[in-house]
Amino acid sequence: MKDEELVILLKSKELKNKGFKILIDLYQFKIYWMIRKVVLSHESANDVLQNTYIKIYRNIDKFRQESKLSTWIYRIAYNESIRFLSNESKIKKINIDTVQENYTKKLYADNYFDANKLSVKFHQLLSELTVRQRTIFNMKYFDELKFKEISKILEMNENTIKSIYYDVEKKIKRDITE
Amino acid sequence: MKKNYNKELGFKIPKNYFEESNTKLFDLSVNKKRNISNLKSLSEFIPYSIAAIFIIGFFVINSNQNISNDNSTLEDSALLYSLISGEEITEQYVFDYLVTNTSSNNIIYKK
Repeated sequence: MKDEELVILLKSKELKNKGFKILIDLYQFKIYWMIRKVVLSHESANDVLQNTYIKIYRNIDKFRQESKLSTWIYRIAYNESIRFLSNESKIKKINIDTVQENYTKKLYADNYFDANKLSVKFHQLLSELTVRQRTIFNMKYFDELKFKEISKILEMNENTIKSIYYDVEKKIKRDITE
Repeated sequence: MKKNYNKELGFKIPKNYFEESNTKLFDLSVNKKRNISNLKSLSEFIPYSIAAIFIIGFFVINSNQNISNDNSTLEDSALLYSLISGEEITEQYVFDYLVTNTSSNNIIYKK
């Protein structure tokens, strides 16, 4: 189903719930993994995923189709993830240009983390990045989003995003083989 | 999205997580919204309730004032008084009633 058709369902009073079921099926997997890479533990990702869907359902009437539906959904998911990190660290608004507190501690505390040699090395490198650098890297490298879409989700200049991504990619490629 | 990247990152999820959370996500989002809309519709009744209280209050106060201003008693009406006294309304009864309860200035006697 095309985004436009789905939006029509979601905005209709009678068919909203039917459309919402389709939306869950379409995006649940992608959104979960996007959130998981930010908040790290499964339980936290599950909570943020629920909050994201509640927000989507509640605010779908405000979606003005100025961006793609997926972009709007990713933006809500990203904002909810950052809000979760802020609540967790008891800071009003987290500074995404700093490294995430207790990154590895959180990973090892999670029952759903398999600490093999490769993943530990990978996370060690990711933990050295700021939240912003890591989010951009994850969105491009793992989620395979386009730079244009990332720039809309994060509300940042596309060229700045490109520059951050290539710097991080270069660093990771160099350090992972060491 | 890259396939198997969760393996690279060592992320695991509970068995059947996505299948089970599907329904849960729907119920949670829709029901939460429904609870909020119920509260919203209840809150819409608040101004009407306040208005109703004022209107009822106004009528209660007014009717009390009417009752307190009205000093007439059952005894002022021959018909009603006969009901509570059990006396039969006869010509004599009406004449006695008028003589005792009505000022003589108000009565025009036919000669």
